[in-house]
Amino acid sequence: MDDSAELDAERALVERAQAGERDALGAILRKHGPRLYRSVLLPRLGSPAAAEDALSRTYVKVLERFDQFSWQAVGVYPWLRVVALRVALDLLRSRKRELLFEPEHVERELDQAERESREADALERHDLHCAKERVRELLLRINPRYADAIRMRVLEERSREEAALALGVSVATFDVVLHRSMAALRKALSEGESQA
Amino acid sequence: MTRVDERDLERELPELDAAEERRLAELLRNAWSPRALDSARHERLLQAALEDPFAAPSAEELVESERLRRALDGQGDHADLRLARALSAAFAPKLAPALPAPTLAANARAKRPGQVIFYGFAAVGASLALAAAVLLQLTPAARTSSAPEPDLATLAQSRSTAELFQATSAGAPSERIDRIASARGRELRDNRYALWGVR
Repeated sequence: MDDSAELDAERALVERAQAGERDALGAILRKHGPRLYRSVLLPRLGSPAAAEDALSRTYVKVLERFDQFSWQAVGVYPWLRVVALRVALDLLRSRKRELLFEPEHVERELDQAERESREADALERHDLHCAKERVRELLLRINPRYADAIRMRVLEERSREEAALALGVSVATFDVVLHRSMAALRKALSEGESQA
Repeated sequence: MTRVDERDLERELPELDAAEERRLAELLRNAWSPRALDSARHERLLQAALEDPFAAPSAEELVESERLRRALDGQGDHADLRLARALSAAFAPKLAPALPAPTLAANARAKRPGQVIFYGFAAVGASLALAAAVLLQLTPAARTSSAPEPDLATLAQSRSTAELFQATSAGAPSERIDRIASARGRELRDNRYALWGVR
C-alpha cells in the first residue's frame, strides 16, 4: 500500500472512530501505539514499566478526546504523539528521581510538535535521534574515559573484557571505572541543566 | 587530564549503590536504543484501554453488581468479594479487613453495653451457685427425702463371685467377666431404685 492509499485508509478509520466505532479506534492505536512507545515514551521515561503506564494513559486520553481531532494531511500520528508527549511531561514532572529528560525538554518538544507537519515515519526517526542526542549531551558532561566506558559497556553492550581491552586496563579496573562513570553521570544529572 | 585531576574528580563523586547504577544504565540504554514493545503485551494494554467502563449494563450485570454491592456492605457473599479482600490485604495489610469486616467490628463495638449486662448476670449467677453448694455441704443433716426409708435387709449385699464361676457355666474368661458385670450391674440398679423408693 503506498503512502496516499495508506493515508486514505487511515482517514476512513478516523471517520469511523469519530462516529463511535471502538474497533476503528483500536485499529488506529494498534498501528501507531508501538511507535509511540518506542520512540516517544520509552526514551523519555527510561523504563519499560513507566513507558507502558504512559502508553495506557495515552490511550485513555485519546479515547476521551478523539472527537476533538480534525483530519490533517499527514495523518493522525502527529496528534497522537502530542497526546503522548503531554502524558510523558506529566509523569516527568511528578518523578522523584533523576531521569535523563527534564520536563523542560519535553515542553520544548511539545511546542514544536504542535506546529509539526511531518508524517509518522519522519517523526519516529526524529524522536529516536533526539533521544540519542540527549545521551550524547550527558556524556559530554563527564570525563571522556567515563563516557567511553558507558558507551562501550552500557550503550553498545560490549563485554567487560572487550571494553577493558579498548581502554587498556584490566577487567577488574574496568569494573571500577564503570562504577565511577555511572556515579559521575548521576552527579551530572543531579546538577541539572544550569551546570551544563 | 592528569592523574591528580582524576583523583580530584573521583573524590567528588557521589556514592552510587548497585541498584542505582543498574537504573542509570537502563535509562541510558532505553534512550540510546529503545526496544520495541512486545506485541502481545501491547494488545493487552490496548484491549484494557478500549473497554468502555460506562457502556450500558446487561440484565445479568445489574443483578451481579447489586449482589457485589450487598456483599461489600457485609450482606451475603460474592466471588468478587474475596478478590476485593485479597487486593485490600495485598495493598495495605494493616487494613486487610477493610471491606465488610469493619461493619462487623462496628456492630461488635455497638453491642458492648449488652455484653456488660450479660457478664454481670453471669458473675451474679456463679456466686449464687457457689453459695448454694457450700450450704449443702455444711448442712447434710438438714437434708430430707420424701422417699420411704428402705429395708436394708432387702438390698443386695456384697458377696463372693464364686457362684458365678460354676464349672457347668464356665466358659472363656471374657464370658465370665460379662456374667459378673451383668449381675453386679443388675444388683446396683435394684439397690438404687430401693433407696430412691421407686421399687
